[in-house]
Amino acid sequence: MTELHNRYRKAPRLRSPGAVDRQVLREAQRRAAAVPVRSVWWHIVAPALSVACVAVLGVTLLLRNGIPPLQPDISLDEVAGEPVAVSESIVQGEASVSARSKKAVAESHATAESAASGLSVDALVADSNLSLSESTPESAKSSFSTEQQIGVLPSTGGPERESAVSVESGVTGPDAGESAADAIVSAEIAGDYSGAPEVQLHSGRDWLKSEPPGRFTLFVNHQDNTLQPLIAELSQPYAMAEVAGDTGRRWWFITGSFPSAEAAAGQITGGLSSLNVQVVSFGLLPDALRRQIR
Amino acid sequence: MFVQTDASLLRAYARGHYPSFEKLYHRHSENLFNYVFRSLGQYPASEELCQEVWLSVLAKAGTFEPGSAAFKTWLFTIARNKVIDFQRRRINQAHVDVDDLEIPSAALDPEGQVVLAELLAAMDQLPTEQRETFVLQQEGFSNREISQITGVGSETVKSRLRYAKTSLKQQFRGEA
Repeated sequence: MTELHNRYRKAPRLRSPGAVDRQVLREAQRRAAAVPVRSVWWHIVAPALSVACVAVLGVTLLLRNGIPPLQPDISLDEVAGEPVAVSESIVQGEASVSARSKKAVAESHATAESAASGLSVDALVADSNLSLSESTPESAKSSFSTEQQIGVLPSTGGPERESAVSVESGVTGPDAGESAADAIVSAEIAGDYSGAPEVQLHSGRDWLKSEPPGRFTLFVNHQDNTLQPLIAELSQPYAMAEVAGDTGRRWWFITGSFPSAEAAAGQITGGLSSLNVQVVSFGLLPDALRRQIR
Repeated sequence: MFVQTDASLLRAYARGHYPSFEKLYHRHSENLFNYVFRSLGQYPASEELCQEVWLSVLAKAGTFEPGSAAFKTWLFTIARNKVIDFQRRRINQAHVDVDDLEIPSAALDPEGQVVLAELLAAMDQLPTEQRETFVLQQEGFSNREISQITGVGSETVKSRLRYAKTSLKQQFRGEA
């Protein structure tokens, strides 16, 4: 059997003659062209199916991996309830995202809104020279659900006045014993120069789970561009992002490493006070923007 | 990489997709030609027959049912019928030698032609049924597939193969 098989295999095999190939293939082409369904199936249905498959694959991959960070001109779904377009730049090795919302994003923060009416940060900086200090009650250290009073120290250049920064109740920081990694702090600068500066601390535990330990994000809102260099100086160790609304209100998001939410509040408040920034309130950083910052 | 089956290629061609047939053709044309040539022992006749086989495939592409047989089995069944028709018409083909092959020199060198002629001459001594059974087996078909192509039972296939091999061995021993 093997010997016969070897003999058979040993005999050279011939290639199909080219003339036959050409004749057969030409006839096949002619017949294929005559099939009426051809244009519908191979020119419409099959390409459409291919495009659909590629699209589904792309969307699936995008959903699995998330939107890649630091992409220019990304439209965010929502920032404080408003759509935002984000552009970006890198500051000190960390992401600095500048975004422009289609509408003002401040409406969702009633406290800041009311405080901000008629005020400019220029005036705040020029006139008051106030500084903030924080006096956090012991009882509030493990939770921000109680109101805190933060004293506003008089500055040398402006009228002396006493002010307070309140930590709004109902918004909690990390509980006692809870990992600092579970908390996030957002700071919003409002513009209540005449009254007491207000600080609201919010813990966004549910959207900070994946942050590195001890890392918090501060969400700072202000009304005037003049605050920008101040914030930039303040936040140099941190990544920061800016969202500007059509009304001119600006929101700053500062992400830095703090041992706790309280420390973050104290540090930022202290930093702002040294820069003569008056009113600070803290708010939640919108999830969509947080992804961009990271 | 996704490999299309013969059946799906033929189905696509039947819907008007020409490249599918092209792929199918290049997949089987050489095997088919060698089968026909080794069955007939004549190059020009094999060319003609192969063309006829493929034209039959084109004409019947829409009627092929993958459930009944594999495409290759179907293709070789058509070829086998064409070969039988041709052999019936051929009267005075007593034996094969190199000159009878009429292989273009560009297709095969002289030495190869001699080796091939020896094989064909030996197979030419076999009865048609034994020869076709032997060639089909050497082309890679199983006994069950040969049974499908030739339309005889598998026991008959085995029997024909046994006779064909015995006969060929004797011939080759005689050569030696």
